Amino acid sequence: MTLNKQQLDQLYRYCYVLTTDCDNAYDLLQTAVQKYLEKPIRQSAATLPYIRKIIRNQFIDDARQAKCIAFEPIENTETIALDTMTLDNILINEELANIVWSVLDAAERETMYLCSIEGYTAAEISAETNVPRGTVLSRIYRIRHKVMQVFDQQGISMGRNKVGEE
Amino acid sequence: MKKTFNHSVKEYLESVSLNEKQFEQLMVMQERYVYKPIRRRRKKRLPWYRIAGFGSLLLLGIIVITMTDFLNVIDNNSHHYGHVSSSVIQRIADEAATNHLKMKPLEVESLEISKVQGYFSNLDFEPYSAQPLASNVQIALVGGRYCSIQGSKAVQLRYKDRQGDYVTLFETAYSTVLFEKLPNIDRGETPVVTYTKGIKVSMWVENGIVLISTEKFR
Repeated sequence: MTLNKQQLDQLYRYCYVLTTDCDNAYDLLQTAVQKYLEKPIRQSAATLPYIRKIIRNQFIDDARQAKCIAFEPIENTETIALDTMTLDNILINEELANIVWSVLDAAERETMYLCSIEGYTAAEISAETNVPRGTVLSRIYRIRHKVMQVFDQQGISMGRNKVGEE
Repeated sequence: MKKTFNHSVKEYLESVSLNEKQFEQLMVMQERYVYKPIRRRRKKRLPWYRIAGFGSLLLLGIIVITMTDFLNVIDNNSHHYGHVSSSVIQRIADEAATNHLKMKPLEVESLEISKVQGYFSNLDFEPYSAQPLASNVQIALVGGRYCSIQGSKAVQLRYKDRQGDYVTLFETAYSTVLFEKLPNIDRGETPVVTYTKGIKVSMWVENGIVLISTEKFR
């Protein structure tokens, strides 16, 4: 199956979410597409998740080679979010969204991407990334917590449906 | 303008996309794989005559190896024992060593070989005044007695060395039926030397007589 522009862009964004760098994202995408072409799968519906898995594994391998931790372990006792909808309650402007994005780690950005762009539920993210659902919910909680910290630093009060309002 | 966090992230990420050059490169890469699919090696079937050829060569190899081993075994036996099977050698050695250890009383005692030889008149061969293959050359004749080796009438001549150890020399008529082809020192062959019951046993043929020398293993 040949990947079209829309699919390639979609995968490129996923690479960008993990690497936060355009050049590294393109390198990662190129490697993943090449690996996919060498060993394609027959079910076209599962193509994108399959390539995302290749990208994820490649990213982890690269991080290991560079001796940096790509995905920090999460303690099981950590507080977890109730569901992915909790992130949708936060109102934010574009400038603050960029600041928040910069303080998230790779695993949190990936969770954010799958949640916001792909519209996955916690269970679906858990299935795709092969991590327990509790871990996914912990990551969502941490994302929300980091957003609150950014708001505190910016001197913005946070409340339901009023977050980021001056 | 305020948006939900999810919407902001979506908007932010949707602004990220491949440029034309990158997209072209990826398309070229895909086309290359589409038009030049990976060649899968097909298992080639070997023609029957090649299989037959390989089979014949293998069979020939096995035969050659087997024959070589067989010939080596024969050659080894002949090298060590002068065409005498190891079981015959062992049998003769055991009997000679047993007789040596028993030290039965001598029937004739003399330091002179001529007197001892003169005693053995009831033999179908003439006793031979050979020297035993003793490690210690300083040996002296003590005497002799009748005995048998492999059922054949024989004599044993007893010698004594300086340490007081005895050396026995057995003599009997040579028969290929009983002794097969023992090494003949008249033809320059080396005597068979074997060890049994702590006794060193040497055997050979000299002047048509089988000579078996036994002594304590040092």
